[in-house]
Parts: sequence; structure tokens; C-alpha cells
Amino acid sequence: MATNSLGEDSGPVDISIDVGARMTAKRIDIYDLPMAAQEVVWSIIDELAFHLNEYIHDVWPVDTRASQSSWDITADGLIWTIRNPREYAGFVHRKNETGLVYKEIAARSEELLRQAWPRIKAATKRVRRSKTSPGRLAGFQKLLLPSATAAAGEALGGTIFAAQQRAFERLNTRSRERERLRAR
Amino acid sequence: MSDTLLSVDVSGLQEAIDSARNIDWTELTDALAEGLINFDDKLRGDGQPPGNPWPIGMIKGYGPDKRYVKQGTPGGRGSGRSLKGWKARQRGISAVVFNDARDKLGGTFYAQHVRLSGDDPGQAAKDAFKIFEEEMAKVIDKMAESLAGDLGGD
Repeated sequence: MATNSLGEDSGPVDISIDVGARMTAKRIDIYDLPMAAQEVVWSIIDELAFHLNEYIHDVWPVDTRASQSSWDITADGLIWTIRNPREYAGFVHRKNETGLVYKEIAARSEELLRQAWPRIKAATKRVRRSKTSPGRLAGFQKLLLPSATAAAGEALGGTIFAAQQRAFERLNTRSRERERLRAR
Repeated sequence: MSDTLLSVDVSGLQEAIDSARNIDWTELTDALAEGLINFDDKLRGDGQPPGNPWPIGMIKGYGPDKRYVKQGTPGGRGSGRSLKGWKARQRGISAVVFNDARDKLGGTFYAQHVRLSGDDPGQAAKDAFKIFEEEMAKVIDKMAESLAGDLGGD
């Protein structure tokens, strides 16, 4: 089950899943994976990101839309980024309920990944047998910075996410909004 | 805009980097991160439909019955789907911002077509680019200032 890597009591949420590490744990050698196989796995994670985005769109409580629009859900290489830097995202719950909504999102992400797992396994087996030229993933990676495509540590601890957390903690959302309105 | 990729002129900054003796990279990366956050904040505006400046559509219904309706429709609520599509990635003093909002049906990327009622298709992206340019110009000034401070040496 994905948990908030920033801590249970943390306001910002990071429940990103390192799919590459999960593959390694299931004895799929990601370092020897041909580009075509990476492309298939990436497209599966990308599809999961799309479905999770839809889920969040349906279940996340909306007041000012600040925390909803701060969800960052993308397939960054073999990392499935699922995070929200808002200083209170981890505490959001529905009216008259105490359950934290981000935990529902974590559970849903695991469910989606579980459902996709046979496809990931099949894709890596199938593509290993046939060598294909670099395709969509290679094209996509060219457009992204290394932090968005490469090693897990860099993607999970992305500079902008850390900076957003710091900024939101330094100056809470309400103060930022007041300041922005004053600046107009 | 002929392309979805945008660029900002950083030639002045390059000169400042070349002239600086000691570079405080933390200051530079912090300045860029702050600029990206400001860009995101400015796009969101007041966060209320119809959106200012980034458009926020109005929807009604839940689950499979959810559909877009005209602004001001009684019982309608703001969507914010394409606003949520804005993402930023940064490594050092390089950054990329993109919008990966996709249509619920078919999953087509559509941020480049978003507009407020009465505007031309894609106007929102053009406005976003202007804001991006403004914010990045401020970042460049901040970075240049930091680098000029380093000119004094130790």
C-alpha cells in the first residue's frame, strides 16, 4: 500500500510509486530492458496516471480548487509520480467525515497498478523477444529533463516539489491569495 | 506560437554566469523554483469559474452523468481539469512546464485549445506563455543580481 513518504502527519503528500523498483522486486531486470519494452511499460503507467487523475477529479473535495489543482500525477519514466505540495493536502477530508481523501487515492493507485500488473509482465516478456526501434518514449524523454525521466531519487525528490512545499509552508495559501489579489 | 515548446531569452544570464567568480547555485535554483511557483499561482488567479486568467469550465452531475454546462448554470460547479494539467519539473537551473490535461473520453491532450468564451482557440496558452515570460524575466533578474553579488569575490 502506498503511504505518504513525507510522513503521516505531513501536510504535503507524496505517494509516488517506483514501478521500476516493484518490477525489480518481481525479478524483472529493468536495467536490461530494451527501449521498446520501456516504452510499453511507460505507456501503461501513463494510462494509470490518466485514470488516477480522473478518479481525483471525481473524489477530491473542492472549495477554492487550490489543493485539487495542485495534484501532480504523471508517468516520469518508470516512476509514477503522485504528489501534492499544498501544505494541507494530507489533511483534506469530506464534510462530516474524518477519513483522509489522499488515503483513498493511495488505495486506488495500488488497485490500478495491481490490475495493470499482468499487462506489465506480459509486455516485458513479449518485447524482450523482438527488438524494436526507439519510439514514443524516446521522443518523450528528449523533451523532458533528466529529473523527470531518470533515477528514482531525483524524480521523487524533485526540486520544484520541494520548493513548492517550502513556499506553501513559509506563506500559507490564504496569505498567498491575499498577496496575489493585492498585487492586481 | 508555431509549436508547443516555448523558449525564453537567457543570453544576459549566460553573460552573468560567465563573468561570475563564485556561483551560489542554491540561490539560483531557489530563484527558478520561486518563479515557477509564481507562474502556477498567477495562472490559477482567484480559482473561480470562468477562470482568471486560465479558464475553468463549469460542470454538472457526477460520475457518468458529469457534463460541461454553460457558465452560470444553476447547480453547476467549476471543473478545473485543464488547470490541474499544469506541471513543472526542475533540475538545477533548467526547468520545463507543461500541461498534460486530457479529455475524459479518448484521452486527447487539449490544453493548447483552451480558451475563455469569446476568445480564439488557444488564447489561454498564449496568455500563459506571456505570464511565463514575465515570471522568467524576473527570475533572470534575480539570478543576475545573485551572480553580480558574487562578482565581488571572497
